[in-house]
Amino acid sequence: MHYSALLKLCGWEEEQISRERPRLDQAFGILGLGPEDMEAAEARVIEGYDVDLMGVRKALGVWIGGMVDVVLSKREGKRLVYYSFPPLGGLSGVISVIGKGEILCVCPEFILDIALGAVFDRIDPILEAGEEKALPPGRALCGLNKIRIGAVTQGIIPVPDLLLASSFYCDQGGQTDEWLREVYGIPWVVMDNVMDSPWGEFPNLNPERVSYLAAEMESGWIEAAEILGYQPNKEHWAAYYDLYSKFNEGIAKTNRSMKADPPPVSQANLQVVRFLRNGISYDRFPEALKAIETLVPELEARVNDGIGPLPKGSPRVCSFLIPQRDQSIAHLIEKAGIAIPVTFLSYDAYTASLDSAHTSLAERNAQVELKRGLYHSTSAVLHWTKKAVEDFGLDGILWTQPIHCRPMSGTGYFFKKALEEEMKIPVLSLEVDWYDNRVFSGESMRTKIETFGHLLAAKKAKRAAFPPPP
Amino acid sequence: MLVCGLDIGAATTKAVILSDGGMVSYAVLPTGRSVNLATDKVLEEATRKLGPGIADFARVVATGYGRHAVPFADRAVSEIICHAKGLNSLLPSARTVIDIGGQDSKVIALDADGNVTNFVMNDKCAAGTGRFIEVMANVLEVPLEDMGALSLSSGKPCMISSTCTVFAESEVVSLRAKGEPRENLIAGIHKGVASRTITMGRSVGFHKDVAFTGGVAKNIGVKRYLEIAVGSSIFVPEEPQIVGALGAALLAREETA
Repeated sequence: MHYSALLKLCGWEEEQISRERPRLDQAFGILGLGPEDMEAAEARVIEGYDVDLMGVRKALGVWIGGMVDVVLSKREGKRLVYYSFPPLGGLSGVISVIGKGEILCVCPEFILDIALGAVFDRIDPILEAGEEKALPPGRALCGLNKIRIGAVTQGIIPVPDLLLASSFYCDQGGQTDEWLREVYGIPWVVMDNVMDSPWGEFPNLNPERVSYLAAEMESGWIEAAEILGYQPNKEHWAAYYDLYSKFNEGIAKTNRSMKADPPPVSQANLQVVRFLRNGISYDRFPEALKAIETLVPELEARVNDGIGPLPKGSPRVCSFLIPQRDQSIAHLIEKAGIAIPVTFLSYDAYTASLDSAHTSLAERNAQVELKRGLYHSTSAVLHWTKKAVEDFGLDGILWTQPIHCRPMSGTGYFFKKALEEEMKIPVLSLEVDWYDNRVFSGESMRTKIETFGHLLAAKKAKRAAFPPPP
Repeated sequence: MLVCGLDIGAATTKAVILSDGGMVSYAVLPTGRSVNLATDKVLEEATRKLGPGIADFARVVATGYGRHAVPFADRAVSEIICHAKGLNSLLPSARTVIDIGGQDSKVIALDADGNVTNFVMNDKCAAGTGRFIEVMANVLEVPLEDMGALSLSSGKPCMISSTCTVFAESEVVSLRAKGEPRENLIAGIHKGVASRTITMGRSVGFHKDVAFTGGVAKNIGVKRYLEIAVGSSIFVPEEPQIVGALGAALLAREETA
């Protein structure tokens, strides 16, 4: 089988490959992935990822499996639910639990971005299809939404039975869902909120915001249950929390490892593991859990041995996100001598401290979403960044400013000014797109990153030579 | 002992050769289609000026966008670092460098030792770069080297409002068709380049002394509008194009010490 070597590289066992062979043949056929693509993908995985870590390899394997699942879902008689990235708490997870084996609830663009983009480098035609059908180029429209529309219209992934939509954080996701709804007549459930909070409120939460978001979620759950014909009960929620809390424990452990100097692994590898909680269905989740459980001791062993991709004492930065479809950007940063121990969406700094006054399931989920910061406010993202500087001993911020992201595109220069003034650390605002590397210049980026690395190293050396008085 | 700094830019390739005593030779040539060919030619030109018998350099540092494509370079360093280093050797009191080259523009803050303390560089847009001025010179059929002097004779610079090179080209063509004097158009173009550079550089600041490097620094029109915007005179080295290569050569010399 022409895909065996790639799948083994991505942590699949021989038995699993044999068992899923008919599905793999069919899905790769639909995707047009032949022997040459498999060979090229092997080379990309070896070049882009730390394949000495089985946890990373297994995570890549889960993404490939997740892609196969969504491509075949309708042919296998499953009902299909799509949600957007970043997902809005709980509902997607519990739908996956309820409909195990019958309903596939996924974020398809995220699966394709990693499996078809990062592994196979075959995402550009899908982006172009999305641009041709609905979201034209040159208008600062999100690559993830282009992938969703491009993949559906090209028949790469099926038309879903239900859309879980929201637009209070990003209007484009909601508009993309609306486009799909209008064109294909797909029912949707909309959960909305407001982003209004007093500056500086975070990490505290306005109770009214919690209640309002919780009410939106609750009504969304009821509506979705009616459409799908399933009513979640306490056992479903318990199963969801059990699995996801185990996964989140794994993420917390990887964060602890990344606080080491040197960090034990490139951030490029961690993203593909951590984002498993944001994209794949419950059916694949035990494999995702296995991946992170495999990775945690691997990282701890490296920390104990003082091993990492960069030497001890290298400058450390945080970034919002690293483009995951192209690992070369993360490696470009590391090649410039800069370690990235933490990214925004990987570090839940505040979700452990929830207000006990809010007791319902929906209120708990609403609090978790707001405490992550992204759905709270711009000031929350700034607050989080300052905390990350302290928690991870950072020397600078390499703010990958997503030029096609409506909520984040306007924040780069503001964050640079605020963080430089308040934290007295260097900030490089770097224009990128996390999902579409056709839209920025690699060479210009290299110059900026190399200069920033030089600047950080010089500052760090100066601080070491002349430490501040105690 | 001789060391060499090479700056492979989008438009030109520069070589500076230093001995223990100082700069002994330099050359500037168009980069053209091949980085390898350009580096060979510029080195040949620079060493030819020194006379026969020059074969080896103790160290070569490459900079510029083609820095990683020079196989014989001992090290590749970003041009931002090299411009700061090179300028510091020419004007130690400089705290800000405005560098406008063929395809990018930068504002660099530096300390008394020539170390970069902050910087900002344009993203993927040609507006505000040498390429922008080159395109406009072609549209107006004016030799590039005459653009600066012509703009100084303008009494009323035009407002070129487009921030995109392609759109600005249409705007200039349209204004010319309306009979706008050429020198007013050129002055407007220079004012626009200066304005974009100043806007971009505000996050870094323009602390005195301010210097101007890169090929566009030869354009006295752009220099004039930058001076008006920062409110002080701006130092332009005698040969502003070789400052990056000079910085690379200085780093090469430091590294051999």
